[in-house]
Amino acid sequence: MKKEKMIKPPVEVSYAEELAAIKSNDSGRVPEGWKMSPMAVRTFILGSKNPIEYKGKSIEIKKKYLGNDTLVERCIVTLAGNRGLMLVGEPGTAKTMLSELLSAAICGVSTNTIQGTAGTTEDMIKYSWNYALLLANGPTREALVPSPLYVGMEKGIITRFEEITRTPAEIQDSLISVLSDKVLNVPELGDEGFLFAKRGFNVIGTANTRDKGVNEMSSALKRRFNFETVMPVRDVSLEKQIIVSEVEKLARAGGVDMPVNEDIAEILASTYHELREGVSSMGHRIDKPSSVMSTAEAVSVYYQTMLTAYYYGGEISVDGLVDNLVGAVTKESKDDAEKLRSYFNTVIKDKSNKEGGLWESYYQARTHLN
Amino acid sequence: MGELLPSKDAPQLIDENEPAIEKLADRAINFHENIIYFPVRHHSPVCSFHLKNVISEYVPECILVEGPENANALIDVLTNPESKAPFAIYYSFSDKSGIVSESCEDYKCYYPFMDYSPELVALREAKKLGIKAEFIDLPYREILAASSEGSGLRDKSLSYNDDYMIARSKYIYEICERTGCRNFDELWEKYFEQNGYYFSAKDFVRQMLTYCFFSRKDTLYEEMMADGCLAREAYMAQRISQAQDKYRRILVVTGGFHTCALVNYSEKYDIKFHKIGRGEEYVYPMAYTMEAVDSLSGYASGMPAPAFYQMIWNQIEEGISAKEAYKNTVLNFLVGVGRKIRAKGENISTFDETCAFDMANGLAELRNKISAGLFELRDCVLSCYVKGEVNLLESMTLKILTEATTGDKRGRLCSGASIPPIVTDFETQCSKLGIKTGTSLSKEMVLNIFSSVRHRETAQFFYRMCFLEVDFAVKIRGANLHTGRDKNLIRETWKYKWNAEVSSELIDRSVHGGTIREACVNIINVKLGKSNTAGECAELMVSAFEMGLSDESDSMVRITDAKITNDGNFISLADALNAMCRLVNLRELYNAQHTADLTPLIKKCSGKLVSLMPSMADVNDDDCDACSRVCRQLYSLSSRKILSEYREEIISAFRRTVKQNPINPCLQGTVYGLIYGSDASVKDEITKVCKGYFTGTPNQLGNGTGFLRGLFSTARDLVFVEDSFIKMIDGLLVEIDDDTFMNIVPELRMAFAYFSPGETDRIAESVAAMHGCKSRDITEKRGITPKLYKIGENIDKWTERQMSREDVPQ
Repeated sequence: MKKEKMIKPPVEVSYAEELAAIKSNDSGRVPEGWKMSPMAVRTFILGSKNPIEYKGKSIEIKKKYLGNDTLVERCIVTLAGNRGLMLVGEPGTAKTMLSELLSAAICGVSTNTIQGTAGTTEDMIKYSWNYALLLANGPTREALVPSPLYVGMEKGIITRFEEITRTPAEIQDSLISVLSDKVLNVPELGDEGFLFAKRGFNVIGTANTRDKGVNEMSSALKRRFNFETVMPVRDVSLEKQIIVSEVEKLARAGGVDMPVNEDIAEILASTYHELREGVSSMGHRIDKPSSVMSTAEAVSVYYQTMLTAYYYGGEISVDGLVDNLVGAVTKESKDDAEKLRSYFNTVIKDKSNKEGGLWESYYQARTHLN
Repeated sequence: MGELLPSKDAPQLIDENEPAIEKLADRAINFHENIIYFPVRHHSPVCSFHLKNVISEYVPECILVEGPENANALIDVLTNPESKAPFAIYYSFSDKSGIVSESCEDYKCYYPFMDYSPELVALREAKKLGIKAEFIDLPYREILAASSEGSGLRDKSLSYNDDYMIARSKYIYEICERTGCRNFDELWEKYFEQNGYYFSAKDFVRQMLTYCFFSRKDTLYEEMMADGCLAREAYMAQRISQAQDKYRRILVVTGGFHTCALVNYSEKYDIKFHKIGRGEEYVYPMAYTMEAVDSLSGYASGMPAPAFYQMIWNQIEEGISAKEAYKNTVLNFLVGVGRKIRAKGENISTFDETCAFDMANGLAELRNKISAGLFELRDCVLSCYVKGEVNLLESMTLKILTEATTGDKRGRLCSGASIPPIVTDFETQCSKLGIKTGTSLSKEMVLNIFSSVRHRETAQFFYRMCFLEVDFAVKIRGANLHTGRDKNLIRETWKYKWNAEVSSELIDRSVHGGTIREACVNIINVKLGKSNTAGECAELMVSAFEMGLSDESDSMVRITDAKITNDGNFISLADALNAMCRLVNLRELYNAQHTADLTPLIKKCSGKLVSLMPSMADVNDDDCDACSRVCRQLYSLSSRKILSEYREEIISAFRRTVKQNPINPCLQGTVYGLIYGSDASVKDEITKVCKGYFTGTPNQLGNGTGFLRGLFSTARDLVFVEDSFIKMIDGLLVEIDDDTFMNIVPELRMAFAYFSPGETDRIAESVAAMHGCKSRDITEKRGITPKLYKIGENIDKWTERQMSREDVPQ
């Protein structure tokens, strides 16, 4: 399928040119099985100040992960080593995005993914069978349907395991032997049944601290991973920057020709930041809503508001923003609506009095909360 | 001195249009010239490494080191082979003449040294080679005088060698951003501490000066002026110039930030010092700890992690390459930290340690470092030793790592090092009172403070040590004069333990006085001056009493008097009254002599409390107890000689208070009880108020129980004089429905808790009689007869049989 037709092209497709440019200029040592050196992977994710010349063009490498740089470095080095990488953190902290970027840069494939759910079974992770061929020819390699772990080991690429802690503990444990011995045994194939992982294979898991958390993960499995905790963005201006860049990306992909209003993005970033932290920039103590107040949620609220303005005519407004904010904040409990109202009646009211302008309109828009 | 220094608009030392930095470096380090300026960062092993090489190659006749010159006499102690780092120079200045500020405060600071501190390396090498070495900075008092309030050494910083100038400028943020380093320390470790070993001394100096040149360019003139930086440089330049007249080869060792200025310094100033009295300025050597060196580093006074860099330095001294030294050190700490985490019961395997070491090396390669360093060590511990999300384990792991890299080594001074008078006084007192200081074993002393003068003096000495916050003695048992607890104990049991730290802590307090008594008196006076409330002043008077400082009580009374005049806070005045009344009692009890009369203070304080009392009627529940206590205390004092003349006034204030609306019901009850104590006719009024609460709206019921609680705390006899009051209460309670009654039961219980068990029995009996029964009918239940029990047992068995029948669905 062409890139233009996809709703969300995989990272290796979206950034194909950047990846090729970095690769052509990569002079670092490339670990066996990797497409580029750890230094080049770092450049791809954290960007470069200087553009790279590639096929007569000057390619700018943008910073794609706006968080902790040293965390990214640790992730890269972990993947070059003996252990898997486990990214844990609050929902919406760009764990998945980081794991996609790492996979695309290291092995050129970010789609070799297991999506962990309560219903995930071992055959969705390792392999299953084409029963027609199985019945006709017996257990042969042709009848075997490889699942992402098998594919990763066979091709020497990264297997991504999303939301690993949502799968039952005994299913998670099926990874233990693979991660320690780097070999998968398919007993049905007899002596031919040993699949030794090719160099370049590794596993990136992501786990959400709001779900069951990593506490229920067996210590045997924990030992086979290096853990990295991805923290929510602590800086409001950085959060605004993320909202702007992500919404621009979504708008481009959705064919929405509308500029992002930075002032509104700032108000949204500030709202999400304050509700998440439980304290306003002016020092008010705020009741935190039980819903997830992640940056990803903020992006989605802005994009929704933008779409409403785009298709129903007119400018993006704070009224529309508040409309969408209600739905996003009051997902988990009815009390959250009250918490949001109190937030407007205290913090936003004070900001409106002190700063006026857009904050005043934002305060006026509180009527949409009812 | 400020007017003598270069003005803001004076020509820049370095012209940016010429290859200034090259010239700067050439001028700074040229082995054929008669002077070499060597820039350092404090506590930097790589600077020490190059400095040592420069000294052996240049062989100067004189080494001039940055440091307040009034410590020159201590150089012999610092370089004595018996003295083991870490140690520090302690400077103190008691600004009695007001040369620093009109507030005439006390100041102190430390100048710590590690084995790898370039300044110490320079001094030690000078001693080894027989070279003259001197400190050349302004004396401590002059640095203070040249600094503005809140800047430089007059800021919170207690460290002389604070190199924040090179660690904080905007230039640093920009350069960290560009090089991908998270902070200045990482930048320094990567580009200077690790790579620096592979440069020649000249190239290293060039790198240092380039860096410091830009840091300086980015620092405001006003900031350098306020910090006293320019004044210090002017003086150092003067000292260098004087030395040039005497010596042919001079090595100047200063912080890189100053070196940039000193290299091109041409102006000459005639700097005159302020005149100060004897005993205002002191300087002593003191043993120091790695922990203290690191905590000062938290204020950017040098490199962090002393134990980590000490290990690097030890290996460099043994001739091991920097790359290997860093590798070995990281591995060493990984294993050490792993072992400590295992000892805490966490599961860290050898494989974890292997993975962590691999990761440290991988990170170093990714970050283009010659070897893993402190930051890679931290990163790999975080990744490989922490199993799970950020949680307590992580903080425990990082705490262990931080403790390990900080280290716990303690320095030692050679015998013959100068000792401040306060330490001598401590030793004299200990020997006089029979307190053993030759051993570091913990000793216990039981003191009969009422029967033995010597024991009283010993207790006072211990109290003084506690007041100075020197970790020497702790009271195990005995009366607490501040809280009034254990007043019945006539003996005090103290535990004390001497160790070298006690001397260091006393040196630290020496700024406050030459003897322990003098230091305590001075601190009390400073605290009295700074205290905001009369209550704080009165508590300090109690402390002074504990310490036997009654000779000073006249001045304390004067200050407390002024504070009472200015204090309008009811609670704080109440605290003051409480403390002063306690003090009066204590003086009688301890038969204290030479004490100032507190009666005028108590009268003044009571007068203010009486006038403030009605305004406190609506006090919140949290402060109600304190207010009630004050009312009780005033009432009790009014029946004693000290306040008998105020009794009418106090009762009148009580009467005004209970009429206030709104009023806290508990306080109202308390005050009514006190009025009842002096005028029983108020009983009808009390009954009326009580009825009002219990027959009012539902919320007022709770207030009714609060009222009773207050009332019973001061007038229990109201219930026993005649039974009309208890009848009234009973009548009111009978009218309340069961649910409401159950809600107020806990509060009622609290109200009746003021009665003794015998009294509650009496009340219960009289209430029972009102309802036509005896108390036994209520408290005793009839037992179940064996026959009734048997019937119950049979029913149980029958039910069980019926339920287990097959046709009964389970």
